[in-house]
Amino acid sequence: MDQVISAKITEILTRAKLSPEMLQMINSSLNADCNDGELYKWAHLTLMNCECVSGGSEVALPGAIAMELSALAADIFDDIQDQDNDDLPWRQIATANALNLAICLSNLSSKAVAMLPDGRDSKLYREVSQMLSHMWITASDGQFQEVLFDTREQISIDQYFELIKRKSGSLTACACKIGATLGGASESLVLQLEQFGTNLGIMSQIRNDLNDFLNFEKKKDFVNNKKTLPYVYLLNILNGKKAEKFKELSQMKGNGSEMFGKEEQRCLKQLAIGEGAVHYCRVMYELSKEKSMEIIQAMPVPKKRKEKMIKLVEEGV
Amino acid sequence: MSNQSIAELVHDLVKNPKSMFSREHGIPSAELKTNEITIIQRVFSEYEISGDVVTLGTLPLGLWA
Repeated sequence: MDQVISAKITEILTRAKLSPEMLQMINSSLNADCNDGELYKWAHLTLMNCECVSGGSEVALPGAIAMELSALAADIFDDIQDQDNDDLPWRQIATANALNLAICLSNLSSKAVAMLPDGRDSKLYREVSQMLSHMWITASDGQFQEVLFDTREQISIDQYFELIKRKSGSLTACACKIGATLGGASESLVLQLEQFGTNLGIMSQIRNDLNDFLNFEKKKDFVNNKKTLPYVYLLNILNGKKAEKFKELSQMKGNGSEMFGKEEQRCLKQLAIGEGAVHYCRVMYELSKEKSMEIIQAMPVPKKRKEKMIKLVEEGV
Repeated sequence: MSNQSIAELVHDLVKNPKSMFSREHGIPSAELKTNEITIIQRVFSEYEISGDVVTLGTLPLGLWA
Protein backbone atom coordinates (compact mmCIF):
# COMPACT_ATOMS: atom_id res chain seq x y z
CA MET A 1 0.00 0.00 0.00
CA ASP A 2 2.93 2.36 0.70
CA GLN A 3 3.91 2.18 -2.98
CA VAL A 4 0.37 3.02 -4.06
CA ILE A 5 0.33 6.02 -1.69
CA SER A 6 3.76 7.16 -2.98
CA ALA A 7 2.58 6.90 -6.60
CA LYS A 8 -0.59 8.91 -5.91
CA ILE A 9 1.36 11.61 -4.09
CA THR A 10 3.83 11.81 -6.99
CA GLU A 11 0.88 12.21 -9.36
CA ILE A 12 -0.51 15.12 -7.31
CA LEU A 13 2.91 16.79 -7.11
CA THR A 14 3.49 16.39 -10.86
CA ARG A 15 0.10 17.89 -11.71
CA ALA A 16 0.85 20.87 -9.46
CA LYS A 17 3.92 21.75 -11.57
CA LEU A 18 6.01 22.72 -8.56
CA SER A 19 9.52 24.11 -8.69
CA PRO A 20 12.30 21.48 -8.34
CA GLU A 21 13.26 23.04 -4.98
CA MET A 22 9.77 22.80 -3.50
CA LEU A 23 9.39 19.29 -4.90
CA GLN A 24 12.63 18.20 -3.29
CA MET A 25 11.64 19.77 0.02
CA ILE A 26 8.26 18.00 0.03
CA ASN A 27 9.85 14.66 -0.79
CA SER A 28 12.42 14.97 1.97
CA SER A 29 9.75 16.08 4.46
CA LEU A 30 7.32 13.21 3.85
CA ASN A 31 7.99 10.57 6.53
CA ALA A 32 10.97 12.56 7.87
CA ASP A 33 9.74 12.09 11.45
CA CYS A 34 9.17 8.36 11.02
CA ASN A 35 11.36 6.54 13.55
CA ASP A 36 9.87 3.09 13.43
CA GLY A 37 9.82 2.30 9.71
CA GLU A 38 6.05 2.76 9.44
CA LEU A 39 5.52 5.15 6.54
CA TYR A 40 2.48 7.36 5.89
CA LYS A 41 1.01 6.80 9.35
CA TRP A 42 -1.83 9.33 8.83
CA ALA A 43 -2.84 7.81 5.52
CA HIS A 44 -2.83 4.37 7.13
CA LEU A 45 -4.99 5.53 10.04
CA THR A 46 -7.53 6.83 7.51
CA LEU A 47 -7.40 3.61 5.47
CA MET A 48 -7.70 1.49 8.62
CA ASN A 49 -10.97 3.22 9.52
CA CYS A 50 -12.32 2.68 6.04
CA GLU A 51 -11.38 -0.99 6.20
CA CYS A 52 -13.00 -1.32 9.59
CA VAL A 53 -16.40 -0.10 8.36
CA SER A 54 -16.41 -1.57 4.86
CA GLY A 55 -13.89 -4.39 4.66
CA GLY A 56 -11.83 -2.57 1.99
CA SER A 57 -9.69 0.54 1.96
CA GLU A 58 -8.98 1.58 -1.64
CA VAL A 59 -11.96 3.94 -1.91
CA ALA A 60 -10.44 6.03 0.88
CA LEU A 61 -7.09 6.56 -0.87
CA PRO A 62 -7.63 10.21 -1.93
CA GLY A 63 -8.87 11.04 1.59
CA ALA A 64 -5.93 9.19 3.14
CA ILE A 65 -3.44 11.16 1.05
CA ALA A 66 -5.21 14.41 1.85
CA MET A 67 -4.90 13.55 5.54
CA GLU A 68 -1.19 12.69 5.22
CA LEU A 69 -0.42 16.02 3.50
CA SER A 70 -2.54 18.05 5.94
CA ALA A 71 -0.97 16.37 8.98
CA LEU A 72 2.52 17.08 7.64
CA ALA A 73 1.59 20.74 7.13
CA ALA A 74 0.19 20.88 10.69
CA ASP A 75 3.40 19.31 12.02
CA ILE A 76 5.50 21.97 10.29
CA PHE A 77 3.36 24.81 11.70
CA ASP A 78 3.61 23.23 15.16
CA ASP A 79 7.41 22.92 15.03
CA ILE A 80 7.74 26.53 13.89
CA GLN A 81 5.51 27.60 16.79
CA ASP A 82 7.42 25.50 19.33
CA GLN A 83 10.87 26.10 17.78
CA ASP A 84 11.22 22.37 18.24
CA ASN A 85 12.61 19.30 16.42
CA ASP A 86 15.60 21.12 14.98
CA ASP A 87 16.83 18.04 13.12
CA LEU A 88 13.81 17.82 10.80
CA PRO A 89 14.15 19.12 7.20
CA TRP A 90 11.67 22.02 7.59
CA ARG A 91 13.57 23.30 10.61
CA GLN A 92 16.77 23.48 8.62
CA ILE A 93 15.46 26.00 6.10
CA ALA A 94 14.47 29.63 6.58
CA THR A 95 11.29 29.96 8.66
CA ALA A 96 9.64 31.93 5.85
CA ASN A 97 10.15 28.99 3.49
CA ALA A 98 9.02 26.47 6.11
CA LEU A 99 5.78 28.47 6.25
CA ASN A 100 5.52 28.44 2.45
CA LEU A 101 6.10 24.69 2.48
CA ALA A 102 3.30 24.13 5.02
CA ILE A 103 0.88 26.34 3.10
CA CYS A 104 1.70 24.50 -0.13
CA LEU A 105 1.13 21.10 1.55
CA SER A 106 -2.23 22.11 3.02
CA ASN A 107 -3.43 23.16 -0.43
CA LEU A 108 -2.04 20.01 -2.05
CA SER A 109 -4.19 18.21 0.48
CA SER A 110 -7.26 19.87 -1.10
CA LYS A 111 -6.03 18.74 -4.50
CA ALA A 112 -5.90 15.17 -3.18
CA VAL A 113 -9.56 15.37 -2.11
CA ALA A 114 -10.42 16.51 -5.63
CA MET A 115 -9.13 13.13 -6.85
CA LEU A 116 -12.22 11.41 -5.44
CA PRO A 117 -13.76 9.60 -8.42
CA ASP A 118 -16.44 11.50 -10.36
CA GLY A 119 -18.66 8.45 -10.31
CA ARG A 120 -19.27 8.80 -6.61
CA ASP A 121 -21.63 11.60 -5.78
CA SER A 122 -20.23 15.04 -5.12
CA LYS A 123 -21.70 14.88 -1.62
CA LEU A 124 -18.68 12.82 -0.52
CA TYR A 125 -16.27 15.39 -1.93
CA ARG A 126 -18.07 18.17 -0.04
CA GLU A 127 -18.16 16.13 3.16
CA VAL A 128 -14.45 15.30 3.13
CA SER A 129 -13.55 18.92 2.27
CA GLN A 130 -15.70 20.10 5.17
CA MET A 131 -14.03 17.64 7.54
CA LEU A 132 -10.58 18.88 6.58
CA SER A 133 -11.65 22.52 6.93
CA HIS A 134 -13.15 21.78 10.33
CA MET A 135 -9.93 20.05 11.39
CA TRP A 136 -7.79 23.04 10.31
CA ILE A 137 -10.05 25.53 12.06
CA THR A 138 -10.16 23.52 15.31
CA ALA A 139 -6.46 22.61 15.37
CA SER A 140 -5.27 26.14 14.59
CA ASP A 141 -7.57 27.54 17.26
CA GLY A 142 -6.04 24.98 19.64
CA GLN A 143 -2.53 26.06 18.64
CA PHE A 144 -3.54 29.70 19.14
CA GLN A 145 -4.83 28.92 22.65
CA GLU A 146 -1.66 27.00 23.44
CA VAL A 147 0.50 30.07 22.81
CA LEU A 148 -1.78 32.10 25.08
CA PHE A 149 -1.67 29.42 27.77
CA ASP A 150 2.12 29.42 27.76
CA THR A 151 2.09 33.03 28.92
CA ARG A 152 -0.51 32.46 31.67
CA GLU A 153 0.35 31.62 35.24
CA GLN A 154 -2.74 29.53 35.94
CA ILE A 155 -4.36 26.87 33.76
CA SER A 156 -6.87 24.36 35.10
CA ILE A 157 -6.61 20.65 34.30
CA ASP A 158 -9.95 20.85 32.44
CA GLN A 159 -8.59 23.69 30.29
CA TYR A 160 -5.59 21.50 29.43
CA PHE A 161 -7.83 18.62 28.32
CA GLU A 162 -10.03 20.94 26.24
CA LEU A 163 -6.89 22.31 24.56
CA ILE A 164 -5.40 18.94 23.61
CA LYS A 165 -8.78 17.75 22.38
CA ARG A 166 -8.71 20.64 19.89
CA LYS A 167 -5.00 20.65 19.13
CA SER A 168 -4.27 16.92 18.81
CA GLY A 169 -7.64 15.20 18.99
CA SER A 170 -8.98 17.08 15.97
CA LEU A 171 -6.34 15.63 13.64
CA THR A 172 -6.79 12.00 14.65
CA ALA A 173 -10.58 12.45 14.74
CA CYS A 174 -10.49 13.84 11.19
CA ALA A 175 -8.47 10.89 9.86
CA CYS A 176 -10.94 8.42 11.40
CA LYS A 177 -13.95 10.37 10.19
CA ILE A 178 -12.69 10.64 6.60
CA GLY A 179 -11.90 6.92 6.48
CA ALA A 180 -15.29 5.96 7.88
CA THR A 181 -17.19 8.35 5.59
CA LEU A 182 -15.44 7.16 2.44
CA GLY A 183 -16.09 3.58 3.56
CA GLY A 184 -19.81 4.36 3.52
CA ALA A 185 -20.39 4.17 7.29
CA SER A 186 -23.67 5.33 8.81
CA GLU A 187 -23.80 8.72 10.48
CA SER A 188 -23.75 7.14 13.95
CA LEU A 189 -20.76 4.94 13.12
CA VAL A 190 -18.86 7.96 11.75
CA LEU A 191 -19.59 9.72 15.04
CA GLN A 192 -18.30 6.74 17.04
CA LEU A 193 -15.08 6.65 15.04
CA GLU A 194 -14.66 10.40 15.39
CA GLN A 195 -14.81 9.96 19.18
CA PHE A 196 -12.38 7.07 18.93
CA GLY A 197 -10.00 9.31 16.98
CA THR A 198 -10.28 12.10 19.52
CA ASN A 199 -9.27 9.69 22.29
CA LEU A 200 -6.38 8.44 20.20
CA GLY A 201 -5.08 12.01 19.89
CA ILE A 202 -5.50 12.64 23.61
CA MET A 203 -3.54 9.47 24.43
CA SER A 204 -0.73 10.51 22.10
CA GLN A 205 -0.53 14.00 23.53
CA ILE A 206 -0.40 12.75 27.14
CA ARG A 207 2.33 10.32 26.19
CA ASN A 208 4.38 12.98 24.41
CA ASP A 209 3.93 15.39 27.32
CA LEU A 210 5.13 12.81 29.82
CA ASN A 211 8.00 11.44 27.74
CA ASP A 212 9.29 14.95 26.99
CA PHE A 213 8.79 16.58 30.41
CA LEU A 214 12.02 15.34 31.97
CA ASN A 215 13.94 15.00 28.69
CA PHE A 216 16.03 18.12 29.32
CA GLU A 217 18.65 17.22 26.72
CA LYS A 218 16.33 17.32 23.72
CA LYS A 219 13.21 19.20 24.83
CA LYS A 220 12.60 22.65 26.20
CA ASP A 221 8.99 22.16 27.28
CA PHE A 222 9.49 23.20 30.90
CA VAL A 223 11.75 26.22 30.41
CA ASN A 224 9.40 27.43 27.66
CA ASN A 225 6.52 27.19 30.15
CA LYS A 226 4.64 24.80 27.92
CA LYS A 227 1.49 23.78 29.74
CA THR A 228 1.99 20.04 29.40
CA LEU A 229 0.03 17.61 31.59
CA PRO A 230 2.77 17.08 34.23
CA TYR A 231 3.23 20.87 34.40
CA VAL A 232 -0.49 21.60 34.75
CA TYR A 233 -0.87 18.83 37.34
CA LEU A 234 1.91 20.27 39.51
CA LEU A 235 0.54 23.78 39.03
CA ASN A 236 -2.86 22.69 40.35
CA ILE A 237 -1.89 20.20 43.04
CA LEU A 238 1.04 21.72 44.89
CA ASN A 239 0.63 24.13 47.74
CA GLY A 240 2.80 25.91 50.29
CA LYS A 241 6.57 25.74 49.91
CA LYS A 242 6.45 23.15 47.14
CA ALA A 243 4.19 25.40 45.06
CA GLU A 244 6.59 28.29 45.63
CA LYS A 245 9.55 26.12 44.59
CA PHE A 246 7.71 25.02 41.45
CA LYS A 247 6.91 28.63 40.57
CA GLU A 248 10.53 29.62 41.11
CA LEU A 249 11.72 26.81 38.81
CA SER A 250 9.15 27.70 36.15
CA GLN A 251 10.39 31.29 36.04
CA MET A 252 13.96 30.27 35.24
CA LYS A 253 15.28 30.26 31.71
CA GLY A 254 17.46 27.86 29.77
CA ASN A 255 20.38 30.25 29.86
CA GLY A 256 21.56 33.47 31.43
CA SER A 257 22.10 34.27 35.08
CA GLU A 258 18.90 32.55 36.26
CA MET A 259 19.84 29.36 34.47
CA PHE A 260 17.76 26.22 34.72
CA GLY A 261 20.75 23.93 35.30
CA LYS A 262 21.47 20.42 36.60
CA GLU A 263 20.42 21.20 40.18
CA GLU A 264 17.11 22.68 39.02
CA GLN A 265 16.53 19.69 36.74
CA ARG A 266 17.07 17.34 39.69
CA CYS A 267 14.68 19.39 41.79
CA LEU A 268 11.95 19.34 39.11
CA LYS A 269 12.39 15.60 38.64
CA GLN A 270 11.99 15.10 42.37
CA LEU A 271 8.77 17.14 42.36
CA ALA A 272 7.36 15.34 39.32
CA ILE A 273 8.03 11.91 40.80
CA GLY A 274 7.44 12.61 44.48
CA GLU A 275 4.22 14.56 43.99
CA GLY A 276 2.62 12.11 41.55
CA ALA A 277 2.85 13.86 38.16
CA VAL A 278 4.07 10.66 36.49
CA HIS A 279 1.37 8.56 38.19
CA TYR A 280 -1.32 11.04 37.16
CA CYS A 281 -0.23 11.11 33.49
CA ARG A 282 -0.27 7.31 33.44
CA VAL A 283 -3.74 7.16 35.01
CA MET A 284 -5.17 9.67 32.51
CA TYR A 285 -3.48 7.85 29.62
CA GLU A 286 -4.98 4.54 30.72
CA LEU A 287 -8.44 6.11 31.13
CA SER A 288 -8.33 7.45 27.55
CA LYS A 289 -7.09 4.08 26.36
CA GLU A 290 -10.03 2.39 28.02
CA LYS A 291 -12.48 4.84 26.44
CA SER A 292 -10.99 4.06 23.02
CA MET A 293 -11.40 0.34 23.63
CA GLU A 294 -14.99 0.75 24.77
CA ILE A 295 -15.84 2.66 21.59
CA ILE A 296 -14.31 -0.04 19.39
CA GLN A 297 -16.06 -2.84 21.25
CA ALA A 298 -19.43 -1.07 20.94
CA MET A 299 -19.17 -0.52 17.17
CA PRO A 300 -21.64 -2.55 15.09
CA VAL A 301 -19.02 -4.07 12.76
CA PRO A 302 -17.76 -7.67 12.54
CA LYS A 303 -15.17 -8.52 15.21
CA LYS A 304 -12.57 -9.47 12.62
CA ARG A 305 -12.62 -5.94 11.17
CA LYS A 306 -11.93 -4.39 14.57
CA GLU A 307 -8.69 -6.30 15.11
CA LYS A 308 -6.32 -3.69 13.64
CA MET A 309 -7.95 -0.91 15.65
CA ILE A 310 -7.72 -2.95 18.87
CA LYS A 311 -4.05 -3.70 18.16
CA LEU A 312 -3.39 -0.03 17.56
CA VAL A 313 -4.78 0.91 20.98
CA GLU A 314 -3.32 -2.07 22.84
CA GLU A 315 0.16 -1.42 21.55
CA GLY A 316 -0.11 2.11 22.80
CA VAL A 317 -0.73 4.04 19.58
CA MET B 1 -14.74 11.78 38.86
CA SER B 2 -13.54 15.07 37.51
CA ASN B 3 -10.01 15.43 36.15
CA GLN B 4 -9.16 17.62 39.15
CA SER B 5 -10.57 15.09 41.66
CA ILE B 6 -8.54 12.30 40.09
CA ALA B 7 -5.45 14.52 40.39
CA GLU B 8 -6.15 15.11 44.08
CA LEU B 9 -6.72 11.40 44.71
CA VAL B 10 -3.49 10.46 42.90
CA HIS B 11 -1.59 13.04 44.93
CA ASP B 12 -3.01 11.67 48.19
CA LEU B 13 -2.15 8.13 47.19
CA VAL B 14 1.42 9.01 46.24
CA LYS B 15 1.84 10.58 49.65
CA ASN B 16 0.16 7.73 51.47
CA PRO B 17 0.03 4.60 49.27
CA LYS B 18 -1.23 2.32 52.04
CA SER B 19 -4.44 4.30 52.36
CA MET B 20 -5.66 3.38 48.90
CA PHE B 21 -9.30 4.33 48.65
CA SER B 22 -9.88 4.45 52.39
CA ARG B 23 -12.64 6.68 53.69
CA GLU B 24 -10.13 9.29 54.81
CA HIS B 25 -9.82 10.54 51.23
CA GLY B 26 -13.32 11.82 51.64
CA ILE B 27 -14.38 10.85 48.13
CA PRO B 28 -18.05 9.90 47.94
CA SER B 29 -18.20 6.32 46.66
CA ALA B 30 -20.79 7.33 44.04
CA GLU B 31 -18.26 9.69 42.51
CA LEU B 32 -15.69 6.97 41.88
CA LYS B 33 -16.38 4.83 38.86
CA THR B 34 -15.31 1.18 38.93
CA ASN B 35 -13.03 1.57 35.94
CA GLU B 36 -11.34 4.58 37.52
CA ILE B 37 -10.64 2.60 40.71
CA THR B 38 -9.30 -0.34 38.70
CA ILE B 39 -7.03 1.85 36.58
CA ILE B 40 -5.65 3.85 39.51
CA GLN B 41 -5.00 0.61 41.42
CA ARG B 42 -3.31 -0.92 38.37
CA VAL B 43 -0.99 2.06 37.87
CA PHE B 44 -0.01 2.11 41.53
CA SER B 45 0.60 -1.66 41.66
CA GLU B 46 2.72 -1.44 38.53
CA TYR B 47 4.87 1.13 40.28
CA GLU B 48 5.02 -0.98 43.42
CA ILE B 49 6.18 -4.03 41.45
CA SER B 50 8.79 -2.22 39.33
CA GLY B 51 9.71 0.25 42.06
CA ASP B 52 10.85 2.39 39.19
CA VAL B 53 9.09 5.54 38.18
CA VAL B 54 11.03 5.65 34.91
CA THR B 55 9.33 2.40 33.83
CA LEU B 56 5.99 3.81 34.88
CA GLY B 57 6.59 6.98 32.94
CA THR B 58 7.83 5.37 29.76
CA LEU B 59 5.04 5.05 27.25
CA PRO B 60 5.33 3.80 23.66
CA LEU B 61 6.67 6.26 21.11
CA GLY B 62 4.29 8.94 19.97
CA LEU B 63 2.69 8.71 16.57
CA TRP B 64 -0.27 11.02 16.45
CA ALA B 65 0.65 14.13 18.40
